[in-house]
Amino acid sequence: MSSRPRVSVPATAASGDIIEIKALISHTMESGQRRDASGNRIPRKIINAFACTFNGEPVFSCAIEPAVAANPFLSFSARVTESGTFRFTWTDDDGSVFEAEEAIEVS
Amino acid sequence: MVKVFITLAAAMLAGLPVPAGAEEKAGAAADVEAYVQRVSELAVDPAYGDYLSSPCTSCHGANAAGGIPAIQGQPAEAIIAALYEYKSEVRENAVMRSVASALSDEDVAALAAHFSQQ
Amino acid sequence: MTLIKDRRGAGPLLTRRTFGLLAGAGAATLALPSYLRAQDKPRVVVIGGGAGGATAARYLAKDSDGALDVTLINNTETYTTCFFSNIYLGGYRDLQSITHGYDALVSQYGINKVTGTAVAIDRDAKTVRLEDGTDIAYDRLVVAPGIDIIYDSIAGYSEEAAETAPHAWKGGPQTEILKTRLDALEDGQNIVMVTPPNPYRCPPGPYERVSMMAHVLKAKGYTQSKIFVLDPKETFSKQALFQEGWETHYPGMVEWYGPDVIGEIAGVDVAAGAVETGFDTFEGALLNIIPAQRAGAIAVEADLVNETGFCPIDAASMKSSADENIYVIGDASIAGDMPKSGFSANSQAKVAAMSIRAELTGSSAFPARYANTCWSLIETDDGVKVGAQYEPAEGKITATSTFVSQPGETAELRKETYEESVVWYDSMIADTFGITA
Repeated sequence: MSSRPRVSVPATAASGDIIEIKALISHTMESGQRRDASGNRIPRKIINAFACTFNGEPVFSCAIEPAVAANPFLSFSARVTESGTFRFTWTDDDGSVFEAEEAIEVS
Repeated sequence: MVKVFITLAAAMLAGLPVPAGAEEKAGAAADVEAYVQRVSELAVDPAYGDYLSSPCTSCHGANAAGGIPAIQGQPAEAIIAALYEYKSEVRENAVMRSVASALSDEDVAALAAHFSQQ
Repeated sequence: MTLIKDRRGAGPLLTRRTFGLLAGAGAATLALPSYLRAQDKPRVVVIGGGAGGATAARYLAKDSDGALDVTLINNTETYTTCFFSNIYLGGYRDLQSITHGYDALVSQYGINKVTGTAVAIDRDAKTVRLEDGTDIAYDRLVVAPGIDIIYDSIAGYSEEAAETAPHAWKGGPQTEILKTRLDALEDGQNIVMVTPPNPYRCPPGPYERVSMMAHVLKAKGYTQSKIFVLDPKETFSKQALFQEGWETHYPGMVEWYGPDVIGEIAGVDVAAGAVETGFDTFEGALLNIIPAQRAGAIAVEADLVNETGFCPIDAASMKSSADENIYVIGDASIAGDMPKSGFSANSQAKVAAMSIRAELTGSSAFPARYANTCWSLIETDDGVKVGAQYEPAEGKITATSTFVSQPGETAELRKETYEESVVWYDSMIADTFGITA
């Protein structure tokens, strides 16, 4: 299955505004606790870390645990004072990194 | 049911090992016998039985088989016993436990009379 | 009863055209359909030939032993049930097996079947007007029109758009469009489904449909396609059971998002295959859009609905709160704790029929009892159910005992549950249409 990220950032804001940022990634978040039909443990495969930066500066990051449900959705706020680009990264157990970015115009 | 009860009672008297839960089941068997006897003697209004039976036929068609048994033409005692066993949660089916829990003794008597005469 | 006796022999209301025919040739009377013939039995007219209407007509005719003149109005010759249409979608049965006619109701029960659309009710004159101008007189009227789709509750959606992006929330041609489009999908093509806000027909239905669509994709060996479910509700019927089933049977295929993630459903662009939400745009080769619903048009036209768009009723009889000569049953009614389902409609029909017979023929009236079970199929032999018994309490139809399947049940129990549903369907069809399915 593809792990397509989706993000939402307002296109514009006034300087000093607190904006809401939403980030979602399609991912099964296999916990490593489940067993398949023949009783074998299904190996763990989750997104274990998420990070968001703005113009290269860290905004928000977190570790993600196996108990988190499939398709993890994160929502957080940030104060913006200048135009720029939010970059988002999700890190998979298998080492792959999924990325997304979104620009905002601040006046 | 009577037969089961007697067999188990005999086993207990003889000091033979009794299967786990058998005393409880024997008790339930005695209860169902008493219930069937009591409810069989209740007076019933056939028109009430006709009306009460109408929700049953949504699932128990005259030709029902497999997943849901046909109940038309079953002996009244068997219907009363089955409904009692759903009420007392001896029988498993969740739909029938729910159905039976809403029935009074008079309802059970009317339904048994209705379906046994189909 | 006095009132009804006074009306006997007065004759039914006739259209001008029919009156001319009758006046010109007295002997033509017998050639007229029986609902236009002068007769002295109390007349019951039923609008709608689905699970509610057909059951009401059958029980009225069956239990009154010919003492009532029963007319059933339905706009089609046959009826395709919405219940079990997901099972058709999943490929477990064909459309013919969920399509039923009215022949047995006519031949075995003496019901007058009128194929036509009821467009108005004159509640003072107690007549139903058909599209062709015919008026049919009644002493009691049963209104069972089911639901109407509120197309404009989703921006960009319309009756025309539904030809491309079907709602398939009424059995028949819409169901076929969805099946055809589902079967034509290629691996990697996605489905976007928009589920309706409460209240709507068949609460577990959208989620059973998700399961059946996933079954079709999985059975074809597809691994790249996804089903996005965009929901205006925070929770849904049998949610734990469905979500467990989706994870077990279709890992990674189904993505369900509630309003906490997607916000509002802003609109749909059928041509682009896109659903715009407050969070992002979801794109798919197949859109299944199920909008908000209200009571069928005739109930709205006759002013039987309240501000909710559905019809308030007396919980003890299913009689309309707006008119003592009218009963409203099935999806169009506000039935308290009962869900809008074929089973509920069938159950309500029996209470309404009993009450009407008591009023018109003096038969015994008993306290209302209602029942419902909704079975859903998640994957082959993995059936679940939810249901309850109901009685009137404090003016509302109230659940007295409820049950629901549990997560983690054995495969054996799930298979039994599915097998139950198959027998239920056949019994239900026999009970409703008087035929063996």
